[in-house]
Amino acid sequence: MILRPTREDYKIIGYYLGKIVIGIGILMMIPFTLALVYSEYRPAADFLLSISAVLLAGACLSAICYTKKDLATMHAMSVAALSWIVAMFVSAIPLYLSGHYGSYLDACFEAMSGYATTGLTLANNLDHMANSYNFWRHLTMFIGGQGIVVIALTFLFRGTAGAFRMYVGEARDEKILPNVIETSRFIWLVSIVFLIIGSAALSASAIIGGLKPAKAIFDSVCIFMAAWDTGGFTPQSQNILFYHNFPFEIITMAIMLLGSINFALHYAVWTGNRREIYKNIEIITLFFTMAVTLSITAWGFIGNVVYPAAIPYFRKIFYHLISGHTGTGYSTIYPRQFVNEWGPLAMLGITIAMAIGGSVCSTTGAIKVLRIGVIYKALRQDVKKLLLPDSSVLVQKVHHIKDMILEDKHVRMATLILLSYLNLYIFGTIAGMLCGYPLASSLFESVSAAANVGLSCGITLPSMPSALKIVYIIQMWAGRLEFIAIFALGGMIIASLKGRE
Amino acid sequence: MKKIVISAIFLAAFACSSSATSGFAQALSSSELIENAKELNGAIVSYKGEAVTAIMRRGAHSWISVNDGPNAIGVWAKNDLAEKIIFIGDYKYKGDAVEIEGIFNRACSEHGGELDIHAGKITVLERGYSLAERPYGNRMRIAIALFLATLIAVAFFRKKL
Repeated sequence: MILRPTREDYKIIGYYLGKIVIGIGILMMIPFTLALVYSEYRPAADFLLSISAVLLAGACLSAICYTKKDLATMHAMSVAALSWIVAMFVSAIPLYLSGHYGSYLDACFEAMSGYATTGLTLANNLDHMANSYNFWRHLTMFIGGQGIVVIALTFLFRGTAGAFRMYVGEARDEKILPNVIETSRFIWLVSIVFLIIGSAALSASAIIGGLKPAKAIFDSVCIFMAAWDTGGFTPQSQNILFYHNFPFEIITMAIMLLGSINFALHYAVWTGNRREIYKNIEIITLFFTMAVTLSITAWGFIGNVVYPAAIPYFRKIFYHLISGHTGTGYSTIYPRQFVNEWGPLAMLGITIAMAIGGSVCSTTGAIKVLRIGVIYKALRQDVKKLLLPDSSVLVQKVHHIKDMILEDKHVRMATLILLSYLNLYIFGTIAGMLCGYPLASSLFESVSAAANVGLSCGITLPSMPSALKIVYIIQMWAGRLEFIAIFALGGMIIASLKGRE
Repeated sequence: MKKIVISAIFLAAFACSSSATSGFAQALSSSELIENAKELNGAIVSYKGEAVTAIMRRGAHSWISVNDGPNAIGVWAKNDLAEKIIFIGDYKYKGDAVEIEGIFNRACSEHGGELDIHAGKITVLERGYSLAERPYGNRMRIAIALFLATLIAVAFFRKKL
């Protein structure tokens, strides 16, 4: 029997959603200030309008739904799922007002792409976009990468049990520190420290590469935010290719890899446990899957000499593999070159890398290497069992921060998420094919959207069908939240319609 | 074979002349260059677009980003050619409209496998200019009205937020 949610249930969800909307309004003050600094007065007016509208909506929602009750799991999951949709709608307002998007749907696509740290873009005339709008695009990636709920937890909420449930709903199921608020703050601390180091390194490289200091610093901060959060937006249309700068590419590779590592592992290393890097199941699986997907991609170039020497191979093939595997989507080639020059097998190698993704409790999307590692270990355990006497007891351990015994519940969860992602990839592929795109391109773009990568083979354009834009928005949202919160939201909707009083 | 012979003739002509002449260059858009990169690799091409984002100096040469609408392509040019460009397109400026004539590389061996054009000649077709900001319309009035409404709402609901 399903119980219909009460009025109080809706109020709890509305109250916390209102708070998250207020948080987004407050964050919009950063690009607003930047617009004033850069003397971009029209964008400043757009941001003032957006801030006011968003704060007003958030304040009214919170006030109307005011409650002192804490979040139960159902509420927390629904808030986590809905907050990303609400964030998309409100964050698209300044983007739409910028005039760089063909429709409000395109602006919503861009906002979701930012929050989900995907990096697919529908911006027109990006090279003429104001710095403040551009910064807002990148800031959405930083916010989304950290997690909208993580931000709200850090600054707006009390450290309650309900807060932890919301945190879990945002696909972060690891409590690095005993308190979820402390965990959120640790995530911020790591991110800010790397922001300073990474932006400084990128700036130095860009200045040496001939970029003027002001532009170099602005671009570096934007690119750090997008690389660390495995996003993939850049402040201009040529993506990373614009910089023509090998050291710059190396630094972005390092940032992408750091961003794809579990924050729990960051914490272990941060607190002096460096040996964890060599023992952790995620890191071991990551290296293995990188080797396999690199081999497949390189195999695709046999008999198809595109790049003339080892360095171009590294800068194109290995760079895109890292970019795809970490879910970032930074690129040093044009989207159509994947189709025209790389060919289906090389594209398949990158597609598999994108589908696997990085670590759990990081800023990446996709299936994630921990789950691949867990399923592999379970499979190995089952094969071993077949070879041993029936009376023997086999215990399979995995090392992830600490030694753990592999249990059926771990395998079931990993398999459930794996199957959900595969279904999501297939859903987008079929949608792409129904819109008239070939299989290889549809699969590539679908995996890129659902795994929150952002590499494109040329499908994602302002001119693509609106239905496909909506499909990709759903994929980005579901892929980022890893389904559980969305399943819970679906359950709540069904309970609202069919549940008993 | 025919393409190789034609490309060789183009290259020979380009090498003999310090500045490639428009008579030899094929006028192509960025989309055509990217779509037909394999066939056009090494050919002398003519490409028109707006100089955007930044010019990056690298010793005796510079990188120029030239956007024709769908894409921007990196152009590698000697500094004396790059210096012809004054306005670079961004939020505040319309960049110089330029015509580039040079060798197109599908995966340049000199530049880490990048798709680029090594310019032999740059012609400024139209000088750029400062862009005026689009008018606000009613936007500022709506923004101020909403801002005041927000202040009132926050003051009214402050105990519930």
